[in-house]
Amino acid sequence: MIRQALLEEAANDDAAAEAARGRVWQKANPPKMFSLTAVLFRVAAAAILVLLLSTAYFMWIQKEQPATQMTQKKEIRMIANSTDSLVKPAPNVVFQTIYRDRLVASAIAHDTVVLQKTEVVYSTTYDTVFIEKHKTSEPLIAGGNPTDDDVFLPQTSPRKQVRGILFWRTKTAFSSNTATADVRRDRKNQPFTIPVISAQ
Amino acid sequence: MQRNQPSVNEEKLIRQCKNGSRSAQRELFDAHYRTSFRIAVRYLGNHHDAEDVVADAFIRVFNGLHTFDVRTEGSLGRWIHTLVINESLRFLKRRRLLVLEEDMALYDDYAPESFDASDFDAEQFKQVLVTMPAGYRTVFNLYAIEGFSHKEIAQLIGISETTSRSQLCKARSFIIQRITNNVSHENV
Repeated sequence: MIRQALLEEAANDDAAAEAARGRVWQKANPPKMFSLTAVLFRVAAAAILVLLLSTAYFMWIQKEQPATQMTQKKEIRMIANSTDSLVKPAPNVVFQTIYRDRLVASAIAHDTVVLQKTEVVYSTTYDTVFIEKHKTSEPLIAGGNPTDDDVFLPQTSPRKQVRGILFWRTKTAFSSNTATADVRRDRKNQPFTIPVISAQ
Repeated sequence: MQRNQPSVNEEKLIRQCKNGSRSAQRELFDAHYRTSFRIAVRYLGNHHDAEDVVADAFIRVFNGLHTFDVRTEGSLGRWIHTLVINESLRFLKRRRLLVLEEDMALYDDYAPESFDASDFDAEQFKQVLVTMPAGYRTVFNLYAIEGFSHKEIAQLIGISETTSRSQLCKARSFIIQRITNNVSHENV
């Protein structure tokens, strides 16, 4: 009887046993915090997290998407400008619609303006520009002090006449969708052959 | 003899434990912890040592579970309780608390069969067991509670059968003396 009572008593609630339950479990089966697999997994997860965060930060400071090219066509109005003393005022105010392609690379944004004119004279008062012939991708350095292969400072860029189709590529985005062009007549019956472009 | 088949849940639990499922191990631990703790307290006489012993016993359970084969219902519980008892004995030996001396004179004078424990309740026994010397308590637990024979006890602890018998006699004398004294004090 005593034996049975002691055995049954062993199954009763015991406050001390319950108080020690958590400690005993931790001693008996501690979490495997330092297993090689767990450590490798944590290191890999941390590396991926750092990579993602750094990529996101890089994208954020560039405010662009990485290595993608987006074409954004916006209408730019070319307005005849008669104030430039070097250029004869156009007989009429000419509105020419051109389109601006925005090339978005990982680091910088270009605005590209294509003028379907064979001869142009350009000025670079406000923007850093370069010109290249259509389809040949050959930059036409216009003198001055180029800071890299095909970009030169606006202050020192002289006017230059270029034959070919103008790619007007600016490093900065247009503040508005307006570009101003001075046009003059070279010969009769050949209007608007030499637009003078200044960026706004 | 017809054996009870092990339950599906127990088999599933053991399989999950073998696969390293921590939640299954916790479930197994929770199911057998309380009884294991009480067994350890019965052998060691205090909760503090019982914590360590039960923890060590469950380490052996988790490490040795892959060798355990479920055959009958409840065999897992018996196996765990055996591990707890063995771990308790190992603990007592390590602390050199199992100093068992053979006292043939006492054994000859005392007939264990004359001991009638039916007049005492379990709570009295429990209190006396806690105060009992470790050697007496161990042999008493193994013989009177677990049901081991003196031969098995001798093999478990590494003593002779005669020593086991004499320790049991001393344990019974100790119990009777303590309980009788308590009754006398209560009557006074």
